[in-house]
Amino acid sequence: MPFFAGNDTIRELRTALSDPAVHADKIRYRQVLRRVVSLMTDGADMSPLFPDIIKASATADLVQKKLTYLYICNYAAVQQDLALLAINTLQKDCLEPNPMVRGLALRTMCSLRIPSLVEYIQLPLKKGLQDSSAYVRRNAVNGCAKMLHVAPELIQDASMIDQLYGMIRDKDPIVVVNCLQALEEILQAEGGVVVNKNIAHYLLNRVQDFSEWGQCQVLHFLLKYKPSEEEETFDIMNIVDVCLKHSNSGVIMAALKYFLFLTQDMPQIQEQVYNRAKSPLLNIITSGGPELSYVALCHIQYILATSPGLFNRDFKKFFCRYNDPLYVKTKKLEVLTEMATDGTEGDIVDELSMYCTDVSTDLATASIQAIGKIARRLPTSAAHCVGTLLKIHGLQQEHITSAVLMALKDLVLLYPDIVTKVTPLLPNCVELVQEGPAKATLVWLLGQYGQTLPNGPYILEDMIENVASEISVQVKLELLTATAKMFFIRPAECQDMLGCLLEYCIDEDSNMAVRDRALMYYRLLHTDVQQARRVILGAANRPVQIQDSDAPGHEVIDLMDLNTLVPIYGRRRWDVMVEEQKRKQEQTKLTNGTSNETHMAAEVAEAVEEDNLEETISLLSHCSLTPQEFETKWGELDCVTTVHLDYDPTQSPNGLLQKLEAAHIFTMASSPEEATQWKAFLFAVAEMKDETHVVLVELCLDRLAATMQATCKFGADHMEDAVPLISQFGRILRGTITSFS
Amino acid sequence: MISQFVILSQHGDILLFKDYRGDVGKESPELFLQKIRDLSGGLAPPTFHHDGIHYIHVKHSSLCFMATTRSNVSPFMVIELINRVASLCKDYCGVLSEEAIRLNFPLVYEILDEVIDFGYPQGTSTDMLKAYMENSPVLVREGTTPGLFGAERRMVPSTAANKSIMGTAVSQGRKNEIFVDVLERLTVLISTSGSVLRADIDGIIQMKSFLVGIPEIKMGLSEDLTVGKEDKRGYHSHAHVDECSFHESVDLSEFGQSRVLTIHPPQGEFPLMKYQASGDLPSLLPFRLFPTVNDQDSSRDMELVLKLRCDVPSTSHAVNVMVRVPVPKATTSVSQQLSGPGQSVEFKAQEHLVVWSIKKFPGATELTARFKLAVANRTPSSRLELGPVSLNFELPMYICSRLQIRFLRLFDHEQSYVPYRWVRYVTHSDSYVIRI
Repeated sequence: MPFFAGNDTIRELRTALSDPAVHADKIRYRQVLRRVVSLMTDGADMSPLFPDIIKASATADLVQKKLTYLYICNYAAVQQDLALLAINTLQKDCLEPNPMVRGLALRTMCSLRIPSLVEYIQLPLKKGLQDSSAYVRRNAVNGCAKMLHVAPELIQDASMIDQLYGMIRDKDPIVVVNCLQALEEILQAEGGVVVNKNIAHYLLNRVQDFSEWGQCQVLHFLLKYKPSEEEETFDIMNIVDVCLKHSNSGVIMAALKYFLFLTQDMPQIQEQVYNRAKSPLLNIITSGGPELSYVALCHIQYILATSPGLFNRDFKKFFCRYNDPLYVKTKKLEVLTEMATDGTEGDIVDELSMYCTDVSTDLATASIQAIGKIARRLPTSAAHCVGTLLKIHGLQQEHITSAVLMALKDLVLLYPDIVTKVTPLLPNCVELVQEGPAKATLVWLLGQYGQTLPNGPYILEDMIENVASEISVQVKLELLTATAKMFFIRPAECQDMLGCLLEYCIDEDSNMAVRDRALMYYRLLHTDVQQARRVILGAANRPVQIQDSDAPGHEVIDLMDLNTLVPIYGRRRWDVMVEEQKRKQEQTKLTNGTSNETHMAAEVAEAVEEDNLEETISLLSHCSLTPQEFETKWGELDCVTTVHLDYDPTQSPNGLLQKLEAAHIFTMASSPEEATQWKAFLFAVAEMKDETHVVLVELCLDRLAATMQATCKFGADHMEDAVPLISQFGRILRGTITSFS
Repeated sequence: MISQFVILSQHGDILLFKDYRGDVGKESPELFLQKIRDLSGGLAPPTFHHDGIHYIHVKHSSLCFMATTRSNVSPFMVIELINRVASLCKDYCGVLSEEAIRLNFPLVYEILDEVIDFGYPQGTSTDMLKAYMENSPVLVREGTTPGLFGAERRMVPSTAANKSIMGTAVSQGRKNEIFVDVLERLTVLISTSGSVLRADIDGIIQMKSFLVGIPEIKMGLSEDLTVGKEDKRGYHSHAHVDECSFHESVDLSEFGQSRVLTIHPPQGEFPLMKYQASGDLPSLLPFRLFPTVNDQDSSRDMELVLKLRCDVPSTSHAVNVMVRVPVPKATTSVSQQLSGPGQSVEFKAQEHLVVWSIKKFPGATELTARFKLAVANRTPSSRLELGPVSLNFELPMYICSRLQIRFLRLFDHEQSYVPYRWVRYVTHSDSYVIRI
């Protein structure tokens, strides 16, 4: 909690700072300054003391000087006019014989970030670059990078850049690295510092001189130079080899990335490099502390996307340790799920089943989901996984049973032969499972497979009796469908209860979706029972396809993403984040330009939307659909929505399709561009909560009215999925099309 | 490049705030804490993103070190850098605690000023930095509340290694001391059938030097030490590691021949050698557990008998052994029968955990504990909720890899002095889990 110093404190400190007795006593003076800096750190506003502190900065006592400079850097931006007073002392300090003082003064001066002071800084900075002390030169080079943001014209000057290039040959390794970094920032617009063969070899020969941090950076800059000959590549690899054995994981990863970069065109050697990389990565996981371990796990997960088999032999290293923090455990679970193959899946599933009893319900649930995922991906493992899930189900805990039911729901669709094993469990679950989504799943399973249970209808009857107290819309919707399905198979037992349920839902329920479905069933049954049967039961036997979008092996990673933050968030999330930032920046520009209220409102709305975006849908960048599939699906899907859009007549329809393609909405067919009744059929695959849904779109253009109508059909099995899907997809569609015009 | 560096206390107070690039707002620590609180219970990963800013944090003892950045940095480098700053704080303040940072904040600001400039790491070696440090450290005295602000204090002798590398000269007269710790952490997983699924040693030789200047040190490791996974080992009686890496101050020219390391130790604490071994360990696992569960008769209490054997030589012993047994959620009470003194049992009903603590456990002996668990509504699945057992322990002067330091010699051409040399060996349990 920030502490706000009152006026009294400031007055008291000011008195102390101007007290001659304090000035005479070095220790007391230091203590007063300490207090000021301490309050400043706590968040109190100490800026009124600025003039007093400037006086204090003119001292020979270095401790005192450092404290005052720390203060000045912090408040210079708020006290721009007074900052000029500080320059005098700083300039004097730049001429001190002690290189430490010179360096310190230069560093402070360049950190002030005040454009009006540039003229005073220019000279000391240029002198600093030629200083005899390496310490001063280091600070001067960094000073150039700092000044770039305050006075670009001073730094982006040919002679300055030449001088910095020259200083790459400095004998102090830190100056060298600072030069590279400064040039990278200064020349950002032209693609950063240029590393040619000469510079690259010079850096390689000195690689041992650099500190560990220097090595990290230099290896990064070396990625800019690609050796032309194989022999040269091997020479370089021999030089850098030591870095792979470094104790700093930053150096190891930088070296590894460099190796992968060098061997890009030599697949066989690259494979060896990957194998070489295995043990350092595994060592980081076991001995690097949880934070490094997490980062390494993310990288392994990223690498697994292209080479799924790489860590197969070491899968035991990914077993959770009981003292791992939850974020490491969860990550390990993901990695284990992805690396399970025909050989190892047995052990992995057994291990995962051990986590189901974990004290953390999150981990327990995640481990059950993981088993379900493995079963979906590896048909050979399905029997074992289902067996394990059924055993876990025996634990009779709400969160476990719920998770098991959700996992089994997907599996019964994929492997119909397990139905006989699953159905007998259902009656036991009724008591345990109370929460919305899990309960809806249970009801769905009962509706789909409960007919074989002797007491199937009566389980539903109990639920119907309590339907008034049910809060979840989803459960009520599923209950309607389940009861209707049950009715067609065991009509005698179900007729009354279906009547009660329909009556309640139509007359008393307040939710539109529930009432609509109940009314629809009622009317269907009223008109033609046989037709109703066909409609309600019809969907039961359609083939299913459940895709795990994150299954390994289907993505090509860019190795340049290694040793960056990308693997931590995953490529897709990273792209969304970058996009979001770009949009925000543009928005701010816009708002700054016009600053009218509508823009503000738009931005707020945008911000709200973006907050929602995180846990919602994303469209897969690769998916395919044949025209036949499209046609059958178009007939099958029953979840439909229509979006009306404005059409900007200056834009061509084909350009529109390209834009949509960039947003991962693909074109199946479209009419010729000049057609008056222009039409296009589009499709996309949306991913939401680990599940994928097909979306089909018919886009009709009305040139006269300058409007478009998009009819979207969604492949959603549950109402719960459909609602966010419809709203999200509509938003993406609208966003893409309007951003065009 | 990082934008800000912040040190936060356990309660979320900002102990230190250093802005390097001015491209991230001053409110970042609040946003960070907000996010951390939203994701409580160990769910907050070390790196997360909010509104264009990446927050990278590492916890050290009770402190949280956090860096913010806007650029796509190497997470490995940033985390290593944060770790390095934390160990520098420890070197200079003596210990790493909230109090130590509060007392020494000008010193820590100095460190942060020199170590990182404009977000880029500069020099971080302890002795190089020493030349630039002006503030003298204020030492934390354990067990007492801080007295007068800034007052110099003396150290408590029992924590001899917890001192600042600068403090030595000022407060105590210089003492030439060098501490070497050989630490091993064990990760073991034993299946229900008693077979070892996983046994990993994660070892480190940690050196902490308070020597004057940078003298040359020769350290001899076990002569029979073998390195490498493929190395054929006929019998497991000699020291072995699969892999090892060394600090940059180590010269390995004699390592291949005679297993001697030549070291020019920088001042302060640093990891001299890190090593790993897994699979067949050169020595027996320190603990074996023989569990028996009797839950046939569901009308009676569930009975659990744990026979724990300590397989280290009788000359060694384990201390602070803690056996943690998760029990069914419906357990209402636990009664026990122990085989000797110096042991205790605690039933933590909230965590559904029985903790059996043994103060001192001599090698080559066996202890037995019988537990009776009263479980309400016994179901066959109650048995599944029992376990896995995890062990926490410390084995002083015992090392599973059998690595030994044969000698530690100092070569100093100018001064002839005898430094104090301290060598310790400790094995810790990292995650020692036995399924029952």
